[in-house]
Amino acid sequence: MVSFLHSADWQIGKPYARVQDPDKRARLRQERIAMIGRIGTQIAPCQASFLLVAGDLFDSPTPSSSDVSAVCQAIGRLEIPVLVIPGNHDHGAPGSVWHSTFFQAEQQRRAANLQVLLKREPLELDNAVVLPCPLLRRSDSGDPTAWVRQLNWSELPAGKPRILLAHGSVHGFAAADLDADDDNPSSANNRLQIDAALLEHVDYVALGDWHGLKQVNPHSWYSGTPEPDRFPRNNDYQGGQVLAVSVQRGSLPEVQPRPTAALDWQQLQVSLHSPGDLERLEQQLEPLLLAEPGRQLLLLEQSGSLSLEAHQRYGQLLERLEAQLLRLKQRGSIEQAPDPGELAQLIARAEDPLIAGVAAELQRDLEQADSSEQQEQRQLLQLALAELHRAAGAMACD
Amino acid sequence: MRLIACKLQNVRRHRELTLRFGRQLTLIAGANESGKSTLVEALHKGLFLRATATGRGVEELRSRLHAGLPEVEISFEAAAETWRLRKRFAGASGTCQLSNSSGLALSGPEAEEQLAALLGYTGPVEGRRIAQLPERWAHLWVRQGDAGENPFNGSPDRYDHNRLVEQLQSSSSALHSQRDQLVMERIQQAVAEIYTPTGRIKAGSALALAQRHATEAASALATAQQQVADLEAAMEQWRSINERLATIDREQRPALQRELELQQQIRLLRAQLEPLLRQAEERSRLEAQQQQEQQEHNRLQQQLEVLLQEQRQNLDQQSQLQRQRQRLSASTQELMQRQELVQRLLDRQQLEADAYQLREHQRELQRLQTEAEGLKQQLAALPEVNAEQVKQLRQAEQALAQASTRCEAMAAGVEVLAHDQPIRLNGETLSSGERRRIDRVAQLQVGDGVLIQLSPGGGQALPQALEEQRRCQLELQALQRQLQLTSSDQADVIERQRQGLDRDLATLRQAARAIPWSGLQQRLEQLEPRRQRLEQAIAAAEALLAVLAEDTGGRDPRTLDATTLRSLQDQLCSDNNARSLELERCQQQLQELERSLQRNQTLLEQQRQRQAQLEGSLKVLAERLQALAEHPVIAELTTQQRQLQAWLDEKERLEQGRRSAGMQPSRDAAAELQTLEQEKDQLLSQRGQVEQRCQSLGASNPIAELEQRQATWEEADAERQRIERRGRALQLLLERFHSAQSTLARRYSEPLQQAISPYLAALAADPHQPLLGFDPQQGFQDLQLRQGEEAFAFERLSGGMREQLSAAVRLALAEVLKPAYDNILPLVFDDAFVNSDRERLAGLRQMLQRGMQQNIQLLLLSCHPEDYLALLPAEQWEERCEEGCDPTKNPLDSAKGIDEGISSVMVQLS
Repeated sequence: MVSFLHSADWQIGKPYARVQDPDKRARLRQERIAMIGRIGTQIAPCQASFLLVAGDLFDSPTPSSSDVSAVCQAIGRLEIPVLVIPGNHDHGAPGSVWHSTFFQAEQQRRAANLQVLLKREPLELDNAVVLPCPLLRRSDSGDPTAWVRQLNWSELPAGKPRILLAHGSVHGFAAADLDADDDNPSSANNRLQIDAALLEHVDYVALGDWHGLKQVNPHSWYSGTPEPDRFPRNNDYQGGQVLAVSVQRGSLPEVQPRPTAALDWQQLQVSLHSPGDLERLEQQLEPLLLAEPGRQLLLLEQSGSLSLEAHQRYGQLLERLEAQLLRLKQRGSIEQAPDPGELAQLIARAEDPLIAGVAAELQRDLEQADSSEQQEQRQLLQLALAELHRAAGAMACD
Repeated sequence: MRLIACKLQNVRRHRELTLRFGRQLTLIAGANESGKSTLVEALHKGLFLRATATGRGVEELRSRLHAGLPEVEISFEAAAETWRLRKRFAGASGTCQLSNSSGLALSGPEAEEQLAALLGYTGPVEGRRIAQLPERWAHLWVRQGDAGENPFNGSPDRYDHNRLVEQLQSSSSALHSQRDQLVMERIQQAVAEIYTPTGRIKAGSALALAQRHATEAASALATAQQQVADLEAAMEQWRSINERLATIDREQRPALQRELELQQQIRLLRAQLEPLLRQAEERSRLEAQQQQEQQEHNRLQQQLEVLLQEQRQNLDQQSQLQRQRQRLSASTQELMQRQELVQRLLDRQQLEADAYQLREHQRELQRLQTEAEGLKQQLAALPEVNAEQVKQLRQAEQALAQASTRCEAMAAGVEVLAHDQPIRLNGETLSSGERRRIDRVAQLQVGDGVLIQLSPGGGQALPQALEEQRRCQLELQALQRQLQLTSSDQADVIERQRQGLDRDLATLRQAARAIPWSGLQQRLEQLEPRRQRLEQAIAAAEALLAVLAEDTGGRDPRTLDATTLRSLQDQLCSDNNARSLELERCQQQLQELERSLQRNQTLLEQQRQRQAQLEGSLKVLAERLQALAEHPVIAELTTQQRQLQAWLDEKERLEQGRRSAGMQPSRDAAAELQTLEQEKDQLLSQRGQVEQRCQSLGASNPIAELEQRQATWEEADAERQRIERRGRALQLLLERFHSAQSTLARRYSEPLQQAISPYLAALAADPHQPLLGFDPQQGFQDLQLRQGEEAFAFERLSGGMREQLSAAVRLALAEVLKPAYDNILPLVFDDAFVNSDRERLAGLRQMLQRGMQQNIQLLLLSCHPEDYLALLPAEQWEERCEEGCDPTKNPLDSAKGIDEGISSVMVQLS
């Protein structure tokens, strides 16, 4: 029986380019390095003999030197061997970080316990055999686990559990595709074949690529990323953990997720149709807005339509959220449509025939424009109406 | 505003012209050049041109007839006051005075400004802006020649647009409020901040900026993508270089080295094998040669036999031919001799024929000579009478006959027809039937009792004729004596006989000349020796004669005639020819045969020679083969050859492997190895480069950079879209404002149309409907007339209709505008209906009448005032205005007291 930690997809150096504030960006990046330390805190409780990182330790094959140093430093502090394979983001082609003299020097200097597995050959440890399947280029048409099938299993030590370490999609679960969103485009898709024939000889398959936690079969797990880097796709999507695994040759592994996340990625669906809805939303968000700033990220999936005035107020609310959150991401939009009162302000102006006429006409067109097919036209009309309202309102203030 | 009166001084042809205007109508009549248009211009300039103006505007007012500066005085009603205006156009020192009934008196610029304000303008027209002058009240001042123009053409200021709109607005709801205007302007401004007037994106605008940022971001993004792609490519290249190097080191180089080793071994073994192989080769070469030569020898033998056979046959043929030739030759000889003999026989016959001929000639000549002698004797017997002499004789006989006839004719005749008494003439009795010629006086006695003297006629002629007759008688007798002939007929016969003899003689001589008579004898003698020689030769050929006799059926050839001999001769000749031909042929055959024999002989010799050569060579070959066969054969040759083959096969396999690996199929492994080493060096250097590239590309973490660029671009593009959308929304808004404005504008064009309609209704029983457009920016436009379903643009109407429609529009404009001007406005028509039909006159008058009723002060200037007299009421005012009116009757003064003024006035300009 051997215990170890299974992690993957650290994505150190992820730029978070869509976060505009450079301070927030730095904070997000920093948090990913700090997360290594949080993994470290799980070593003792789990009595882990080593830590496996199933690919994508770095976000790119050429991370910055400061990230390399920081990572080596953080890994060096862990007191167990850390075995790493390159994934598709940080693949092991010549010219990548793994071959760079700087990395090699930093590794020797700061992280003697770090071992990068670039060769597809069994690595025998004291209490286990690791079968690494590194990705040596971004996209490989061949199955990186293919070599394992050629192994003469009888030559491997019979008593030691065998751990396959791989990065990519498995049959029926296209991790890369499923994991992609508008912030994280789908990267290369490397297919792994984890079938019964293989599992017959292997005790645990440590997988990387899917950022959520996922058990593929009794022997195979995606650990997910220890620090989430995107908004959850659904409620099952569970990020922010490391897997504590206990395994012995010829039996099912015991797997236990252990939380490691520091940041709070939230998702909220709002559908606003009246100032009342807006008020309720404001109340709902109040705790978040009063919490310590700079620890939360929020995805606002918005829909509905607000009066011109309410829309303006909604804008102010969003401004507050922007300030409070590490990141506010909006998906969808809230239409702005004058409410009857606002409309009346414009249309019922007998003394201003032009404003009234134009407003009435725009409103009529807006009502006629089919909501789905003429989305563009609707937007334009709404915008025009809002501009008219603003101009007329400004005049009224004059 | 209403005109009351005016006074012009020193204005062109007017020294002083004073006139009063009717409240409704002033009809100003006057012939051409009576100063109507001058009046119209002067009034207009008085109202609108600054008094201190200089230049063309003022120059045109100056009079050439009258001294003094042009001066215009106008009294008018406006703003509920009566005003008096006086302008003196003296260039820069011109003066303007304006006073009203309330005691206001202004002058100079103040007066000008007050005047302009009363007329709806901010100031008078300056001299240097004279082009603006016709624009002032252009709708109310119809100058000569302008009547057919569209009043709405040109700038809206021409027809007092703003005031017109004001008036129309007051009658309906407002076009727009001030707030409308401000909001629209604000939107316009917002659009103008983004777009140019032509709808393009304005340089420097927020949108242009956003677009630029988006473009820049897109280009930066593309660069970043390129960088990532470059880095990936470089890594991929590095990887493939590594792979390639591994392949070279692990597979290709060892294979090539083995190939080289094999090459070496093969070379060595081949060196060992070489002498043996050379010997084996030599032997097989010799054997082949031997076989070849033997074959040739056999072939030659066969050919030789054939040739010999042929030669023998040729020789037989040759002797045969030779015999034939001999025979033919002898036969020819004999024929020749026979021919010769026949010739001699022929010669002899010819000789005899010649001799006979000669003797014949001799006999003939003798006969001719005898005959000639006879003829000569006959000739000598005849008197020598020639033709001339016969002629003379005949002439003499004729002369005598003629003379006798004459005598006869002249003499009288007496013939006794019957008598019963004797009749005597000159004593000579005449019996019955007797006739007598009386050629001289004669006495005829009948009976006894009757004596009659008869005298022939002719006087002396008869004796002369008788004399002539006697002379001729004498001449004839002399000739007859000379010729010893009695008559000419006799002479003629003799002469003809002589001629016949002469002819015969000539014939004989001719015959004699045909005979070659000279040397006949001599020639006969010469023939003899020849005959003897021939006879001898014939006699010598006795034997041949016998042979010939056989040919001629046994007759002695000497007895044969020439024809037979000649045919014999011909026969012999043709025989001979045939024989000769045959002989010649025979000769030729013989020659050919000889040549063939010669050829065969040469060939035979050559072949015999070659045979001898081959025999020698074969002998040598046999000896050498014998020698080789005796040499000891190397047994290991086969073993070694097998070894060689095995190595060659291995080498071939290696080469094949190389080829299938897609390498250059070079045969030379050493060269290939070198190439491979070079490739390796190259790959290593490439790897160095790629390494460097990877380092330089990877130093900045291009993937992070790419994400950054992507985000920047997304942001920039979203911003661009936002601004663009807002721009489009603003454009849409402005568009809507304009179209709403246009919709509202119809509210203005419609009342104006309604104002025009009654005038057109007055003009014709079946009126056309006016159509008019209005654009808040451009003013009124698209003036049209609708007739039924069709609408005609103003410009497409006839000249007359244009005048009428234009007048209706002006009347309507004045009607609509007048509330802004104290409810009355003047409208000047100077010769405005010259193109209109006479039939339209009544309608035209009705139209004008309506204008008058609507409080429009009409000024009609025309050279046909009678057309408009009907507009004047019965108690019309008529003023005849003349130069030099009494200034005390200045209507300007008298007008003061009149409240309403006179309704209508007619003025005659002279």
